[in-house]
Amino acid sequence: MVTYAEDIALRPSPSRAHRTGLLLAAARVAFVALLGLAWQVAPESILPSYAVGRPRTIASRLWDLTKDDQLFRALWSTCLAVLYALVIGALIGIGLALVASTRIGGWVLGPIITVAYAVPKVALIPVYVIMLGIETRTHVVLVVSMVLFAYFFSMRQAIDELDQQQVIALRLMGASRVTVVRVLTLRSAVPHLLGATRIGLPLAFGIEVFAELRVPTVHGLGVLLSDAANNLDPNGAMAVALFIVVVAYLLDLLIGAQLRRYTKSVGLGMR
Amino acid sequence: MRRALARIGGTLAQWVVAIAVVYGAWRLVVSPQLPPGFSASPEEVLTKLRSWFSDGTAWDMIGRTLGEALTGLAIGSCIGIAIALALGFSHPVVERFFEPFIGALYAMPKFVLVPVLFVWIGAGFTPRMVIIAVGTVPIVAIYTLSGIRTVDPDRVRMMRLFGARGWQVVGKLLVPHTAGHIATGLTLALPHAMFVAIGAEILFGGDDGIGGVLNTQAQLFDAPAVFGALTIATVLSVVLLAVLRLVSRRLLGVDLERARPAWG
Repeated sequence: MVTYAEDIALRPSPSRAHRTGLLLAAARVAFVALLGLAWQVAPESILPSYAVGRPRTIASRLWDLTKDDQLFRALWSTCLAVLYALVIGALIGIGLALVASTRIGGWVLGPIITVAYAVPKVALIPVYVIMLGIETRTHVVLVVSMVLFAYFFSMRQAIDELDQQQVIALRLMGASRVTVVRVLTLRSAVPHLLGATRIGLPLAFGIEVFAELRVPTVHGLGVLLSDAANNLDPNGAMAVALFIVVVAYLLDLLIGAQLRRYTKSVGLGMR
Repeated sequence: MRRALARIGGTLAQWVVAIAVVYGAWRLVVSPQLPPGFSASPEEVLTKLRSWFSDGTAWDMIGRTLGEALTGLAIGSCIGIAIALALGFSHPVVERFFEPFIGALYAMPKFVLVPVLFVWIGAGFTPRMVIIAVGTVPIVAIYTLSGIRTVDPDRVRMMRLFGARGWQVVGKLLVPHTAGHIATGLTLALPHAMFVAIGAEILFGGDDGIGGVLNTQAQLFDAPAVFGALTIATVLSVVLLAVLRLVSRRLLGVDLERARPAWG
């Protein structure tokens, strides 16, 4: 068992940690460059250029897509749909969790949520296309049906962990149910809802790209990828695919860092 | 006895009310939204399901989707465990070096591979399985690594002092110690594999598997078939989740409820 003092003593000094971090970053860049080089010179029999392109051409396609603003317009469109879906999904998930926390609500909603949660959401896309058409709202509805469960279960957990003594105290002071929800339940659920966003955001982004691939509308990263593939442009397709991977990773890092900062600021973070 | 009967009665009543609510919502809210000619009553869906089960179509669909999911899961798990063991055995700096790459693989929307694999390998079993394997690798690697991190280094040193070789340390200490973590990773990866399998079937546009049938029948506007395939997918997921929860609780002592929001 390492004590706190030992833990502090064993940690590398900030300047050394900084130096190691910089060296690691440089080594990673070199590693990626080496992979790129291997890909560039790989024989056609191993990595056919008609399918995966070549890094030099991919870089030039990426530059073209950036220069004429296509890439960022598509990113904006995808992010906007994800944002709408997260907000709507959060509102529905939180609302359902609040209803399910009442005795009758929980009794009626319990089996419905169990079955609805088990539906593989990607399987709903053909039904949504028939119901809503080839529209951005079809994507949003699909993403909502996926992320609302992350918020529902997180909110339920927050309600279960609520200090009942505080609820009773508030009720004794004359607070209505709505006031209890507003001043106590929702406030104490913030870390849980942030956790749900941590899970929901990458999930929403992935499903939005899936929806755009299946239901290509006007804009969106999935639409751009689908267009490049349909035009038999492997370099364009790889450029967009790699861009999507980088964006997904950065989103994951960003929301993870924000969550860590928040939990640290409220004293829930790890030492 | 009376209490058990009351509990069963209560659960039954709960399900009857839930089915009535869903049926009412379907009739009043969903049905009017559907285009004319695309609506199916529960009786029509049941008839379709009965015919599918009697002529073996349903078993083919389930077998195909499960087959893809399980093969992809098996291959992805082997690669994930191998990566975790290699990183677990190396210097901590090497593990830190590869961390962002595993993170990127985990965060990557797996369906971006569909257009590339479609041109490269085609649209059959193999590309779908590749996507599932790619999705499984980071999940299993992360769980296995977290298990390896909990191994007591003194034990490893002691085995080394007694002359144990690397593979003996892996076989006699690391694998048994991390078995619980690996199993947890696998139980979390299986529903994910099912979800990716159905999604890949839809995107690759074949007519086999649950996703393939859903896609084809939706294009034909065959509503009973679409909702029949959706029912099969849902029941399969419910059964899979129930079995996984039971296995993980009984054999591993792990509560999968906590990881639930990550599935979909």
